[in-house]
Amino acid sequence: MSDGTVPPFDDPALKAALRRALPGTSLKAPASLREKIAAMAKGDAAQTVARMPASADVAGRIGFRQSAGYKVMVAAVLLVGFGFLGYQLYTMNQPTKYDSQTALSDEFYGQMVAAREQRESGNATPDTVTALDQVKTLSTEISRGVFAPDLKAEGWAFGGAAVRKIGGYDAAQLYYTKGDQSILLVSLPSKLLGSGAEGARYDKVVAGTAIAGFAKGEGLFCIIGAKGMGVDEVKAMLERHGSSIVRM
Amino acid sequence: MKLPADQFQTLAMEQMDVLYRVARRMVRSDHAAEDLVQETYLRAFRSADSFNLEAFGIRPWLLRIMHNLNVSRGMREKKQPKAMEDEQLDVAAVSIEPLPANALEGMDDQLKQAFEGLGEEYRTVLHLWAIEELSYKEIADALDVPIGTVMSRLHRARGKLSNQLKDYAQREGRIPRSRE
Repeated sequence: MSDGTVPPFDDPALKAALRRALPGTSLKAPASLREKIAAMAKGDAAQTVARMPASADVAGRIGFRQSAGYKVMVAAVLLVGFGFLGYQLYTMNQPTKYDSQTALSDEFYGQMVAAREQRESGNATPDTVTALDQVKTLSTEISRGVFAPDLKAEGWAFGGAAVRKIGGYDAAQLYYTKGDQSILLVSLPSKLLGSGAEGARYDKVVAGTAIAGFAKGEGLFCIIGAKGMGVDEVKAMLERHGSSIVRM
Repeated sequence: MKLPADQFQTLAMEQMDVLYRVARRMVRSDHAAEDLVQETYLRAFRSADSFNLEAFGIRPWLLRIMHNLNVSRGMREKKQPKAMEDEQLDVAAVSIEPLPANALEGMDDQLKQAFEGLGEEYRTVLHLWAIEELSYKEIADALDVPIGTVMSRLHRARGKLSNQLKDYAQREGRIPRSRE
């Protein structure tokens, strides 16, 4: 049968069912990939290769890796890469800076704030750890370090901890209170920020709640501030206690 | 219409999420999908001069490059050795009994499992149609096949899904049991 005799296809019910059933319908390209390609687009490599005529039809089929254009491009990408490496070395020696560009999605921030509010209102699953010196068990549970500073000297009392999900990821959640205020310290996987996230920092104010965090090793360690706490206050707390990572 | 380089790059970058989703469906691993998308963009930037906005939309054009790249890498052979042998056969000759529309309600897990069991061509065409909502023309351009083949694959994919879900739907009483 020729293609022309195939009847038009339409099945809205199947389409709707697939959209429901299949995960990742709103999946986004990782930030690290976006950055790599953006760098490629802006770099000399892209400009050089963009001038080379080629047919879209054959773009995927020709012996690309053997072409002179490919070699020029590899050289250009290496050039950009070394430039990038130099920039990284330069930035490593600069004072720590918060970079909101590495931020998570608004939806995820919302879920972090909701986690604190649920614990505050008693709607979260029960704590499994009631003393700060037992927090190591949570590290075993998530196979990552747990951000667990002793904040007693600053007036924050440890109120319990547990591993609960945030955005589908296991997060060690430590709850602290001071008067009628509460903060939540969460330890998430750093892969949330994509590859190459080591040292990345972020801060954000979501619905009046200040959040700040940093990536170190396999962990993304965050403070979800109390209502009314300023973002500078949360960032300063993170700076003071960022080294308090407990491991199994 | 030829685009200035910066405009081309902006348009191309806007399609990255779509490409990544389709790549994930093609290769089923984050790392391989990232690699595939990155090389697709390398090739797209290289071929920017040949891109014509009126002849192709940017999205099918990029998808086509990615599809060709995936084929040339030989991933398809590993995953689906016999996927293409029947695509040009008469659709009407295949035993396809689409499930009633309401039979799919509440069968998300089974549908997902049946979808994952399909060959790559079928998964890709269903994904482009259902998730990315590309037109048949765009899908045909993206996969470098005639529109009729797109229809054919969609019919066949639906048939395969229906056949796999039929037993479950009958057990659950969503559709009457067929006579033995």
